Formats: sequence, structure tokens, C-alpha cells
Amino acid sequence: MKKIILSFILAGALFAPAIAQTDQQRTTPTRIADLLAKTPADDSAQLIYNAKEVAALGTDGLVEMVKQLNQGGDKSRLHYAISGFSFYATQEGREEWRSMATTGYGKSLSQLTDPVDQQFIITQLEMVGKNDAIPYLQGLLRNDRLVDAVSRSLAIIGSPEALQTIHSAMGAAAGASRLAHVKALGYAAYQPAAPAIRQLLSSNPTDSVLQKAGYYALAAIGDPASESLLAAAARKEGFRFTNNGATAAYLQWLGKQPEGNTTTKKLSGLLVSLQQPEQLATRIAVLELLTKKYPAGAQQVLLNALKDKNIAYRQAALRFAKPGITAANSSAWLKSFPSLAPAAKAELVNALADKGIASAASPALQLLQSKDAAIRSSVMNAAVKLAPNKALPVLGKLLQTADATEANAIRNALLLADGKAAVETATSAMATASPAGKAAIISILGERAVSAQVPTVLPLLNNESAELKEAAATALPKMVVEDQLPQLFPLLAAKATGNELARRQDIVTSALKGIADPNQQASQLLAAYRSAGAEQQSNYYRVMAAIGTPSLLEELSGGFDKASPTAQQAMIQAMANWKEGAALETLFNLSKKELSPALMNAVIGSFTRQLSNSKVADESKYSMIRELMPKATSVPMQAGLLRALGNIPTYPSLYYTAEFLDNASLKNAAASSVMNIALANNQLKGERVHALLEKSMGTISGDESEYLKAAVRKHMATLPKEDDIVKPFVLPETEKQEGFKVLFDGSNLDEWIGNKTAYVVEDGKLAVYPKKGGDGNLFTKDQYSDFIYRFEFRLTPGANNGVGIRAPLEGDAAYEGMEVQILDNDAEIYRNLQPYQYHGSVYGVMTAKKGHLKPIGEWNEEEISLIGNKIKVTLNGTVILEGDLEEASASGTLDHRDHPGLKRKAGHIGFLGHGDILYFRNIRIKDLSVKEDPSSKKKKKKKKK
Amino acid sequence: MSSQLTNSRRRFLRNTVGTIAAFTIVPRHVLGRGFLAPSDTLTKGVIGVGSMGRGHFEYAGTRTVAVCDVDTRHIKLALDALGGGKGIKTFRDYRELINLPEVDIVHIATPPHWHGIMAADAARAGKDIWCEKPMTRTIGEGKRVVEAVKQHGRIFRLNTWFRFEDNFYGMNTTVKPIKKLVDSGLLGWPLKVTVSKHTGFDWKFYWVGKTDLPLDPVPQELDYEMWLGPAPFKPYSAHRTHTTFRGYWDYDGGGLGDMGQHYIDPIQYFLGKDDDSPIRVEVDAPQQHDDAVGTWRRITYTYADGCQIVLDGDGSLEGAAYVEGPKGKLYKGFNCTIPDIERKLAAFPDPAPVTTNFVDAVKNRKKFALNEENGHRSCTIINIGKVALQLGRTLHFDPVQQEFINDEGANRLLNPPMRGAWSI
Repeated sequence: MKKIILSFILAGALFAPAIAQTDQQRTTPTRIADLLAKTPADDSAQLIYNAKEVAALGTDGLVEMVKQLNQGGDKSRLHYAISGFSFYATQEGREEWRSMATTGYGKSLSQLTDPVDQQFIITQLEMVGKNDAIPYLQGLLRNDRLVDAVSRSLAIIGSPEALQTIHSAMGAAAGASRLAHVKALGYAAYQPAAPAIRQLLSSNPTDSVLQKAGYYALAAIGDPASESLLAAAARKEGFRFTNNGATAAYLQWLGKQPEGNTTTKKLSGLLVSLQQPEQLATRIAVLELLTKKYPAGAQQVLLNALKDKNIAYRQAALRFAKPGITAANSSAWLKSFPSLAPAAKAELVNALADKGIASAASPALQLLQSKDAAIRSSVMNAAVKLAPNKALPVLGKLLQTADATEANAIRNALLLADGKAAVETATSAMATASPAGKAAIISILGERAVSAQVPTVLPLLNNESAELKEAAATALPKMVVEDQLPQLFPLLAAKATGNELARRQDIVTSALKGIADPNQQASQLLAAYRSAGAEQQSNYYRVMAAIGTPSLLEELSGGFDKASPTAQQAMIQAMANWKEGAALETLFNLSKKELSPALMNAVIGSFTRQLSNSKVADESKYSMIRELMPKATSVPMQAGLLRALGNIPTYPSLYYTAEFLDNASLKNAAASSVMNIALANNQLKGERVHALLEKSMGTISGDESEYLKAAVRKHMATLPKEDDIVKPFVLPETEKQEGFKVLFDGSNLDEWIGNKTAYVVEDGKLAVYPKKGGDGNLFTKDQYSDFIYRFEFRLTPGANNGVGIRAPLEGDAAYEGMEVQILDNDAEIYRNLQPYQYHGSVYGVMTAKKGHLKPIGEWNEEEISLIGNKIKVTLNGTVILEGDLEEASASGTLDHRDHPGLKRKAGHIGFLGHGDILYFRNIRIKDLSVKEDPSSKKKKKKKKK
Repeated sequence: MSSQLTNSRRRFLRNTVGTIAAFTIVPRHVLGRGFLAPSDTLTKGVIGVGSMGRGHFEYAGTRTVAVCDVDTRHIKLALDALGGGKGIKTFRDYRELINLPEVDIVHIATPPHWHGIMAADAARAGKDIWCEKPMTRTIGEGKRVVEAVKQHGRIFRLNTWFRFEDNFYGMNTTVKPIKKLVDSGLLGWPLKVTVSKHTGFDWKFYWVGKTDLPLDPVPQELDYEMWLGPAPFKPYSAHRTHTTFRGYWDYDGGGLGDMGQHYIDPIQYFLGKDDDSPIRVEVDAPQQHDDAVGTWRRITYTYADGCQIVLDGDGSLEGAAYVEGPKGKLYKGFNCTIPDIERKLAAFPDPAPVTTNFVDAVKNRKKFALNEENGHRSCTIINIGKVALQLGRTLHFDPVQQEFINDEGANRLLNPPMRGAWSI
């Protein structure tokens, strides 16, 4: 948490100085490799930084990077680097980058070998390209594998030149290419192509796929000259939607035509002719087009449509009409009423009411008096909205005769009205209402929380009608207030059971919760409970659980032993829902008593339910579960406890849960808990954890389990396999005698100066997290000239770092001092490296032997010995570099660059970060430097062999 | 990726593992409602009968008469689920299903890259539509669905329901009282809504893609060409398809794409923004791969009036209120800083009524509560968030034109052309 916030703050000032200083002199492959190592960017600041790095490569460098796609393997980092640059280059004010990206991608396109990679680059051109992309794309317009992506890119670029390029290619094309051309030209609605597309369609009448694409394109272009072709095609399909899309295309074409008599005539003619039921959807579409193309006559057209027999047609007409309905033109709508069927009248009233047309009130009120209940119901909301004062009394009256459907409609309409008016209407209708009407009224009283009506509604809990009982039981919890408790406690004295009892308990609970102070709630409840008869007391348990104070729990558990088995059962059940899981320990204590199997089962069930809300510490929960597990006699109960262990992310919980992985009926529950435990706590690691996770993954199956397994695998990949107990490093006896000194023992960085933000102590390791930021590298605080330096390191894939030697604190240590490379030189991103960049090389000066690194994830041991000009690097027991620095550079360095650092006599030893995560440990040094103190010099020389 | 982020994602998982099995199961509320006499029963054809689509058989009030899938294994499972499938027509090409005269309603339960094209075609064919969320993969497709549904007078519903029924995740209530609270003005204005694990939501970050997909042989039962349909061609890898397609931009958009509309649609509703969209979206996320969807830490949407929707991906907004206004806050579990809020709200009128029974909507041609228009607007929030994530930058959006402002790169992602013979 704290660390996330930190990275947010640092995001703006990220690590740029740490890396940029070293990059200017590096070769393009190194810069590409360094850049790839920094992908994917962790946030937008780094995304911008990486994009700048790509831009700095220049066009040729970009081509070189794109060409690395040819090398196969995992291309993810290349994808990130390239698409990140494309996205950034499309931003406003980045024209230079955009143009560089286009040229770079364009030039690399012909050099890529895999069509998948070519398609990827074409997609990048689709993002960044303008006319400058055309030369690179046009040659691929007849490549059947790539033409789809190419024409898509050109269509998105969308300039006349880009579209003309497709147009020109279409003439001689065939098959997939031609289809893609037609589609792209249609997508971009490229007018000049219309004649050629029509020509294509008439000369290829049997190519149904091409026909479809052609109709689509001609429709999108909307060229008037396409009419006869599209109209004929649609007519052939009977003006119904079919697979070739001809009817849809014709409609779209019609939509593109200008307003005016010609278009109006066509549409009106169609409207009349489309009378078949299967043409309904087309007829509706024509109606919509007509209202758009003939605004002057739209209202009349739509008024006529309301006389149609088909409800779908009428309602569609009203939907098209609504945007144009105003108070000013509403009279025309109202005048049409007498000519409409009742259903159409109601539909129109609702449309007018939606638009707030006040004059629709009178027809709405009229329809409210209709003999047809469905018509009445359908206009109630409108009537209440437009004329509440007149509508409410009518609705009140209708409650006398309403059946359930109508009563519900009345209820919903009344609830739209102002609270008081609805309540008054409802209460005054109560006496005369039908049974369904009464239920609706009670529901309104509940929704409006009318406490004054509690005395009226309360007796209905005992009504003969199930409908009224239910309505009252639903409404009362919303109505009651604390003052009414004396009238409400008796509800718990009655002989109710099951659901009916639960509803009564809810009513009492709701009233109790009206008291602000929980202790007051509890004391009122306790008083009533204690004065209740023994037989009724169990009716209080559920209420006690809902109020949930410690005093109530004490009262309950204190009375447990004396209670009857039935009451005990009820107590245990109530405790399952005890507020905030506070009954967990009480239930656990009950489990220690001598209980019947039935009661024990109940205790375990309730205990399990309390677990997730309980605030008891995980360790205690774990030990309670362990004790209870042997007492759980059924599989569901055991599985419930196992699932609960899944929320306790500790080693003991993990190992105990895992014991059930071999139990046929419990292995699923155990497996999901094992995974949950491990995922929730990344401190759980080591061989055994890995093995248990593997085993658990093998156990689960099902649709979503693949995601879970993927998450677990990802989690496992980040966990080291060694066990987690870390002891500080202590020098082996031999090294102690030789005079080695520990520089890093896993606990602190006291011997170091520099970037302690990106270099951090973690689990006994020195971890490098470049994305954490900080400035520069990490150096020993002391300077050394001659020394034997030993350390261990663990790489992550593609990691790149280096040991700076005889280095100054400022400047590029690889040149101002020397750098012994640390590099996963087998990673794909480093294929183009020069040998002098391999792991162990003195960067740019001397080449190390490849092939002695351990597999990624394992620890490597390294020794760097530097005495005078003699340098030796030993990796995992093999000398991979040995020689004389002066001799090696006598006739110029391998990288043909100036290395002033070769002449330095002393300096710091440091780690030179390049943007990757890796780890070091057990760092120690034997200082062989010539020191001024003669005694120490002697001493050291003595030990040197 | 910082270890803290992955750690919080792990905690996420821990909270959700128990519900994984329940996720693909049809919600209880759809069963047993809206009984109709057999003679009255509307019919449906279901396109895409993987586990999600097979769940659609259970939606009450209609009878399945046809199924369609590009994988014959799904067809077989579907027929089994339909009691052997006597009298059920089966198809590989959805266009045959939508042209069946006996189908009233077309259910679309395919991956999202198909939703737009199938919905628009079904509307043109005169069918009513029940479409899985997210409504469409792009804003461009969404606009075409809105046009086609409206132009052909169809009834459309999106398959999320929280704006009108069911407990709304951690709120312990339906959305209705939240809507009433917002409408009452008691919280003040503008409001900030935070969708976070701390307010009861889970972003399903295990729905991510793989960046280095192994290639697999196409199973004999699967028509991969048709599975891809309008999506760009990419060589087959099993992980692209069934049950894991959500991790790829070409088909969906991870947890944001697939759960986002469940979470965000009700917010648009209670903020009263069903015909509006945010004007700005900001993202804080690791770089997204061009193919595989990744995780994110924060997505923040801002409307012109200052209202905000904050999506908290890394769980760093501990203690956040679900809805926060200048005068009060509403927390998870409908806990409100305004005392005695339930009673205070009882005095306010109900929100405007909507049609929540799909069978009623179809029979009486009423617009459904969650329809193509408000569904498109809530899906637009998902879709502009996806574009901002892909580009890794703040975007400005014009809610009227439904385009990004001064950002051609972003606009190029709004409505890309479809592959091969497909168009919408």
C-alpha cells in the first residue's frame, strides 16, 4: 500500500537519469536490448520515456528493432516496444515521430518473413500512417493473406490518395483481394469507386460474397446512380432482410438520398406496397426514413400510422414521432383521438405524457374510465404525471374493484405521486378496497413508511387472507418506529413458526433499530425477553442476533445449559447470524460440551457461518477450526471448514488444508483453499508450497478454473523456490582467514552509497527494481584498486546489469571506469549482441566465454579478481575471462571507443543498473589495494597467494 | 509490475474464488417468472451456446426453438441441456437462425466481437433481441445497433439487470434506493462514484490475456474462421477462444470489458446520465499489450458537470465511499452518513417507471428498461476506457459526436473496419 503510493509519486521523475547517462555511447543493439528490457512500461511516465528511447534510435534503429521479429521466440517485448511507440506517436504534436514511425515500419515491412509479423506492422501503420504510408502498403494490395489488413489500414488512413490506391488496385484484383478492396472503399464511402463496383457486381452475378460486399459499399457511398441496381436486388429478396444484405443496403442507400419530392415519392410508394407480415421490419424502416426525408409531412404520416392494426408499427411510429412532439403541435395529435382504436389512444397518451404535454391530461383521465382494465392500467402513470389531483381520486375508487394486476398498477402509479397525496388516497380507500386493493394500499403505506397506520396494519398479520398477511408482513418492518415496541413485542408471543415467525422478528428488529443507542436496544429487548414465557423465549433469539450486543450473547449462552434441546437448537441457529461474527468463540466453547450429534452439527454449521465476519485473529480461527474438524461428521461440514481455511493465509493453515488433497470427497474444497491461501500471502514459498500448488491445480477443473490456474502459475513464477528463513550471510572460515570482508550480508546497505531507491534489501537479498526510480547506480562507499570481489547473483529473463570497477561516482562507469557485464545473454532480445557484450566481458574491451551461466532463476557465483592490469573473472567455478587490460587495449578497444577508465588506478565497485530486476547476495571483498598503512599492507600481502 | 500490485490482485482472487462456479450460472431471478400460457409463448433462438448461452435457455417466458454455434461440441451440449433437443433447429451460421420465421427473439451470447453485427442484422430481420453484455466491442458498432434497432422498430434488452432488479453487489439493496437517494439531492452535487473492492465490486483481473500465445491445432469441432468472423485474422491458439477470449482486445476487454457493464450501467442510470457520456477519461495502468488485455490500477471518468466514476483496480482506495457528494456519503451495504436515511427517502416519489418484464416489452412493444440506447451509453464508458488503456493516456471525449477530441490515434480505434465479408 505505502509502496504503491510511493511509485505514484515517483512516476513523474522516473529513473531517467539513471539510465540515460550510459546510453549515448552504446551500440544500437545494446540500446534496443536495454529498451526491450524496460517493457512493458509500468505506467504512462515510463511509456513516454520508452517511446523517447525508440525515437532516439532513429529510423534505421527502428527498422533494426522491428527486424528482430524475424528471430522468433517470445516477441512480447518487441510488441510492447513497437506498439507503445505507435500509440505515443499518434498523439497531437508528435508529427516528427509519427513520420519516423511510418518510414521505419514501412521500410521494415518488406524485410519481415512471417505474415503474422507483417500483419502486426501493417496494424501499426494503421495507427500512425498518413499518405506517407501508401508506398509501403500498396504493393501488398493483392497479397491474399495480408490484403485485409492492408486495405483496412488504407481505409482508416482514409485520404483521397489512400482510397484511390485501393480503387486502382481493384480493377485487376480477384478473390479475397478484390473483396477486401470493395469492403474498404465502402467503409470509407469513396464516391469515385461507385461505377467500378457496380461494374464488378454486374459482371460477377454468382459471387454472393462479393455481391453482399458490393451492396454494402454502394449503400454507404449513396451514389444516386446505384439506385436501380440496389432496388432490384432488394426487390428480388422481397424487401426482407436476407443473407446478401440487399434490402438493408437499399434502405441505407435511401437514407443517403436528399430530402425532396423524388425521395418522398419512392418512400411513400414503398410504404404502401410493403404489406406482407414478413416485410414489417422493412416497412417500419421506410416509415422512419419518410419522417426524416419529408419533415413537412411527417406528422401526418405518423398520425396515419397510429391507425395501423399492428402494434409494433404503431409504437415504432410513436417512437419516431416523439422527438418532434411539442406543446405547439400537440393539438393535431389530440384531434386524431376520435379516429383511433382504444389501444392506440392509450399508446398516444403515454407518448404525449412522456413529452410532458399537459393537454393530454384530459384524454388520459378519459381512458382511466375505460371499461377495459388493461387500457386503464396502461394510462395510470400518465394520468398521475399530468393531472395528479384528478387522477388520484379515480385511482382510489378503482381500488374498490381492482384485481391483483390492476391493483399493482395503481400502487405503482400512486407511488409516482407526491408522498402525502399518495398516502391520503391510499388510507382513505382502505375501508372500501377490494382484497387486492387492500394489499396494494398496505404496500404503499410500507413504501412511504407511514408509522401512524401501524395500528391499522398490525392486525392484518392474523388475517385469513394469505395475500393480506403477506402484504402486512412486508410493509410493517418499513413502517414501525421504536415508540411502538410495546405493541410489537407481543408479536413474538404468538405461536408463529418458520417464515411467518421470521417476518415478525424482522418487524421487532426494525423498531428496535430505531433506537439510536445499541445498549438501549439491547436493554429493551432483554427486558421483554426475560418477561416472556419460557416457551416464547426462543422466538427472541433471531432478534437478539440481529441486535447483537455482548450482553445479549451472554444472556443466551448463560441460559444454554438449562434450555430444552429444541431451544438449544434455536439458540445455535440464531448464533449463526450473530452480528459481526461476534458469536464465533461462544460457538466454539459450546462445541466442547457434551452435545447430541444433531446439536454438534448445528454448532459446527453456525461456527462456519460466523467465521467470515468474525474479527478474531487468523491464528485463533485456525486453531479453533483444527479442533473442530474431527468433530465434523459430514462432508459438507468438513468442506465448509476447509473453505474457511482458504481465508486464513498462513503456513499452518496451508499445510493442514493440504492434508485433505488426497481425500476424494474433500479434495476440491482443499485445492481451492490451498490456492487461495497461497495467492493471498506471497510470503508463503519454498519447494513444499510449489508442490502443493501443483497438486491443487491438478485437482480443479471447470470453465473458470483456467483463469485461476493461470493466476496460480503466474504467482508461482514470482516465488523463489528456496524456503523463506533467511539468515545473514557469514563469511566461511576459509575466507575469514584470507581476509575477506562482507559488503552485504542480506540485512543492510551500510557499506554502500548511491541509489538505494532502486536497490533494496529484500528477504536477505539485494534486489534491483529499476522501476522504483532513484538516481544512478549503487557503489561501495570505499574505493579499491586491487581486489578479489565475490558475489552471487540471480537473473530474471533478459536481465542486464554490470559490475563497475575502478569507477568514479559520476559519469558512465563503463567508460570512465570499467564494467564487467552481467547479462542473460541467452535471451532472445540479446541475439544481436557483440561478443564483448556477453556476460563477464569487460564491456567493449575484453570478451568472456559464453555458456557458463546457470539457468534463469538459479543463483550464480562469480569472482572478479583485479590486480594491477591483470583481470580474471570466474563464473560458477569456470574462468570465463582472463587477461591483461593494457595488452587487450594496446591496439584499440573492441568497440572502437575511447575508454579513459582503463587508466584509472582505483575507484568504487558498483552495480550498474540497466532497467531490469535481478538479485545479488553474499557480497564480499578481499582488498589488495596498496594502502598507506604499511602494517595492513604487509598483512594482506602475506595472505595473498 | 510492482509486487504490491500483484499482491493486491491476489487478494482480489481470494475474494472471488468461492464465487467462480456461481458466475456462469443463471441468476436465480430469471427462473420461474413471467409464466405464460403455452399458446402465448414467445420463441427464441440462441446464438452462441457455450456455458453463458446455455444459461439463456432458462430465461423465463420464452421457449427455445433454435440454437447456433461455430463449435459442434457446444451444439451437442446445448441439445443435451434442452432435453435431447427434439424439434430444436441447429445452425453454424447465425444468419440462418435470424431468418427463421418461427423465431421471435434472438439471444446473442457469443463473444463481444460478434454482438454488434448480429444485433444489427437481427433487427433488420425483424427480430427482437436479448444481447449479452458488453453490448458492443466498439462505439462505432454500438451506434449502428442503436440505429438498426430503432429504424426497424425492435425491442432490445441487454443482459445485465442491476439497474432494475436484484441486489446490487455489495450494496445489500437494489439500485432503486440509490437512485432515490441521488434524485433526492440529499447528497448534493456533483457526485463521485467509486467502483472498488472496498465498495463491493471485483474487477476479475484473472481475465487477462497471454502475450506469447502458443499456437495450437484448430479442433475439428470448431469453425475458427467463423469464430473470428469480423475480427482480424490471428493464428489459432486455444486461449483466444472459449472461456478465455475475454483477455484479448480483438474480442473483449478483460474484466473491464466483461464485468464493466454490470457495474457501470446502474451508475449511469442513477446519475441520470442515460443520454450522456463522460468528457474525460484518465488511466493509471501498466502498458497494455497490443493483443492481450492486462491489468490496470485506476480509471477515472469525469462528466461535464463534474460528476466522476472512479474504477479502483488495485484496491488502493481503502475506505472510499460508493457515492460521495458534498453533503453526504453512501458506503457499501447502503450505509449512509445521513442519519435515518431509509425513512427520509420514503417521503420521496419513486423514480420514473420502466418496463422490466421482457415478455411484456415484446408483446406490448414497450421499450425495455435497459435497451439499445442507454445500453450503448453505458457500454461507451467501457469502450472509451478500453481505448484510453490501450493508448496509455488521458482522452477527451465529445458525448454528442461520440468521438475523441483532438486525438486521431484514439479515433482510429473507435470504429475499425471488419474483416473479410463482414460489415455492420
